[in-house]
Amino acid sequence: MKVRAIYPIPRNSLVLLLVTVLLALLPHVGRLPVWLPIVICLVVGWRVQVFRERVSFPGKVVRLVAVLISFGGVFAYYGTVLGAEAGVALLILAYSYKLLEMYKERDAFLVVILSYFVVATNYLFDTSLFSTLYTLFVVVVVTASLVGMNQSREGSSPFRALRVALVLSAQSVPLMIILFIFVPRIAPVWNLNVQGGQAQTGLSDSISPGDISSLSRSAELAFTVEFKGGKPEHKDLYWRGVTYSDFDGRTWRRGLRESFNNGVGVLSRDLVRRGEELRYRVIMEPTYRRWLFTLPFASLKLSGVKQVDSLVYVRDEAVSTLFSYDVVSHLEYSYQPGGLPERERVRLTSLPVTDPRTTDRANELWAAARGDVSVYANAILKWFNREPFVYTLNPPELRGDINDAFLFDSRQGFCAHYAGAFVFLMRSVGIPARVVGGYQGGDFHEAGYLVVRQYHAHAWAEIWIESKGWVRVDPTAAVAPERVMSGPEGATTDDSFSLNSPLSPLLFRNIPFVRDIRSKIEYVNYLWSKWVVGYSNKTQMEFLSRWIDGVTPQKMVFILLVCLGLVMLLLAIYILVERGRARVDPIDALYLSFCLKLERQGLVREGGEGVWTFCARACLAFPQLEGELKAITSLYDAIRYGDLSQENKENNRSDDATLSNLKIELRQAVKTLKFVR
Amino acid sequence: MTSNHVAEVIAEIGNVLLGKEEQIKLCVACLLAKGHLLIEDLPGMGKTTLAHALAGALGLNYQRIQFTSDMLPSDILGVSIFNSETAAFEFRKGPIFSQLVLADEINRATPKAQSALLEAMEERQVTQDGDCYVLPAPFFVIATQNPSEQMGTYPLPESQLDRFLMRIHLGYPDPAVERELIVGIDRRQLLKSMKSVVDSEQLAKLQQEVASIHLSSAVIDYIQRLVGFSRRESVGLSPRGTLALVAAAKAYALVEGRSHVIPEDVQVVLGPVAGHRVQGAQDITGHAGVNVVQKMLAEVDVVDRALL
Repeated sequence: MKVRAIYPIPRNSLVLLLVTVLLALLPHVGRLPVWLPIVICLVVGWRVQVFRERVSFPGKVVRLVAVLISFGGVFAYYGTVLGAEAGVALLILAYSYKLLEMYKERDAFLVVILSYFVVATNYLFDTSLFSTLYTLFVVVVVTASLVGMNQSREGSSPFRALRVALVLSAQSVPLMIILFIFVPRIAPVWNLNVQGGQAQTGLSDSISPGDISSLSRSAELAFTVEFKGGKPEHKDLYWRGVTYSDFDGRTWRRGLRESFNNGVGVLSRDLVRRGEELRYRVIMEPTYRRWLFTLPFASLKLSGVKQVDSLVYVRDEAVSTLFSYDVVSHLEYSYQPGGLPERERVRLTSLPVTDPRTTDRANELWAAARGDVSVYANAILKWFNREPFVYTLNPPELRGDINDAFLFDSRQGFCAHYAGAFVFLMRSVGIPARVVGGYQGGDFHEAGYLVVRQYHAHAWAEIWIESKGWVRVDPTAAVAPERVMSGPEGATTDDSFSLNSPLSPLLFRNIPFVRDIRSKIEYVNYLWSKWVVGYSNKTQMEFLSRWIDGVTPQKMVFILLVCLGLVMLLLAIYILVERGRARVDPIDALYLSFCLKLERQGLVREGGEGVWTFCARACLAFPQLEGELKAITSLYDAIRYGDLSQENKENNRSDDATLSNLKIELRQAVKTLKFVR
Repeated sequence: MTSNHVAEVIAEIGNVLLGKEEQIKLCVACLLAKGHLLIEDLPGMGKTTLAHALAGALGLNYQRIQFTSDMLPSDILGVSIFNSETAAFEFRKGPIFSQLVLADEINRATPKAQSALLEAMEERQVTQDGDCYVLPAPFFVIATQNPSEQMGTYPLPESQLDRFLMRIHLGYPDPAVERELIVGIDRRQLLKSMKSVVDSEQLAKLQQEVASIHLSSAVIDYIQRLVGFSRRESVGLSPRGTLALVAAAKAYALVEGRSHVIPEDVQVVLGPVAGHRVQGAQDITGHAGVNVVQKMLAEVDVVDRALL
């Protein structure tokens, strides 16, 4: 294929551009289908071969076929070509194919602009500090390749381009900060549902033994909590998130009522709050679920969030970005002590007809307890405690009636097993009970906040007792009290709490140094999430109201304009001042300082006096310094007037080196010049 | 080395023309820069001796034209004569067809004759009856004029003064030098016994070398400051004047045996080059132009201290 290159791409900057493309694509690689990076490598390789003039550009047919095949490939992988992930994959494909069409300078500019866009799409998936730093680095490189393409063909040097790009980017930083702080945050009208691979972690709509096991080993962050004021004890850290009240024999599910709650809320007559209130802010990582996590009993006022009958909070939209909310909790409370509505009672005691052995045992213990719910519950806990029940994260698969199989055969399980079995035992004698899913515990960071990770995921039970209301019972604590006291690490007696990834933070967790570094990194990440990623409309108001009374969008726009105006004004002053004065060559400045030294001795150089004329005069005045004076003058002569000076185009590298040596010599000579009287 | 040649030439001329080393250097520089020279001084100051000595040292053939008011262009350029044997016109070359021409008392001739000379100087060729005759290379004109005797002269207009790269004055000799003149041998005898130091090929090489003298941006800045200053102060240097200044400075650097120009070179040639070009130059005494040059030298800073 023949190409009529009218404005060919400068070859030097093309190399930089190809490097830029690879750097921009790098963070995406992990998220793309395996074949896509291979395609990218092939395309870049092809372009490199074109650059080396080994092969020519592909023809129209080849390009068309490649586009159609990859379109099909993306569709086959994602099942759609819409949506963020498939869209980004398509964008990346188009972006790399553009390299094979990059004949002219105009095409190269297009690729550069696309590079900025591709870099920006990375934020759809990852907003962590390190990813941001990397992105900024790539932005500098992209800018450098833009600079490189505008350099003259002779004078192009990638390092100079990089330097220019760095200066440009640095200059834009103040503007970026001002815009970041003051531009009013408007919630997006669209909701981009980027799920990614992250849907695997977190609690799910249903809980059937086996689910939480996989979760427990992930050290990914679930949420961080900042306590304002007092901190609760570790044993009180039950982060309620979701309640499961429907059981079909194998799986506990969220009640339909809970899912479609109309948000009537909790009637205050049903609720008694006691004790001190606990204030905290939760900064939640995206879960792509609608529920929020709080300590009981939580008061939370936020638009788009409502409290359902089981006292958990549900948001209208899934939490797909970092989300923070302020909560006031009362750890001592009683809810619905007066009685349950009949419909609720029926719903919370209904069970399928399964697990005969468990039902028998329940009736047996219930009879022994003589109708006292507390006694009955304690009897069950004692049973869990005395019999050889094992807390493990790798329980065997349960067949048939799961509660029977668990309670009488395997006797190995984790929180979900115990909570499920406990609630089943309760309901089978008519006591309203439900399974609660959430997180238990958390790690207090040195900086004072609490980090809750996916391996803190937990399930426990809540039972309703007449005149006491809802009471939390954690059957896991009966089997492995350490789980509640210290977290899942200490709880498992086998090594089931181990790693499923070679880079897991759980690795080396006992080496203090590694722990220390990790906690520092976590702290930085926490601050980043809190102040940068989590900088929402609310935090913005909060932050700004430290300095401004009554933050309104109008005021913010005003401040923004004032700031921008100030920046413009400073720039204008700088430009005007800079224009008004010519720059002094550094060597001239050095020579003038030499003249100043002589001036202090009473010898003033006339304006129109050449350096050698002045030297001759100075030698007469200071004959003892003749050597030094002549040396300085001849160095200045050589640097400023000699054919070594920069503007001499015929100079090579060694001349440059000589020149810089001369400059150093001159600097030294001027510095060491001393007048002895 | 070539710079040795230059030094030898200057020494050789210096033997004949005593105590005028500076003027000799300028003169040689003017020649190396392929420019023409105007010497302005009273009679008997050694103008002819200088021209003669220069021709002798450089091995150039030499012609002297004494300008008078009844002079015609053909007296300078040559004349076509009818040859009866060949029955054709034949061009007889005039005195201008030599490598070094001394145009003595140029302001005595009529503008017509002056123009003929100046045109030939510029074009380096003579056109007669439609035929073109190329002047020898190197071609160098030294014109002289007497500044004090104005009666019956035709002063050169500014535009024609511009044709001369330099205008120099010789001035009176020092008493010591004058004493040497008195006791020493006759200079005219010395002239006859002068031997040439370089041949015309070496001279051409030297002229080429002037172009390769390095002119750094610092010196260009200085030259531009000078030119700018002259334009602010009066009717300043024209671009041709600037180029002349650069060429003269480069040639002077070569004369000084340097491979690059320093501001002192510019300063030395500034008077001779700019003196007759800036305003007031039509004043035959040249004082106004000299004043501007003095001011330029004194006030324009060699080192740019714009920031301080």
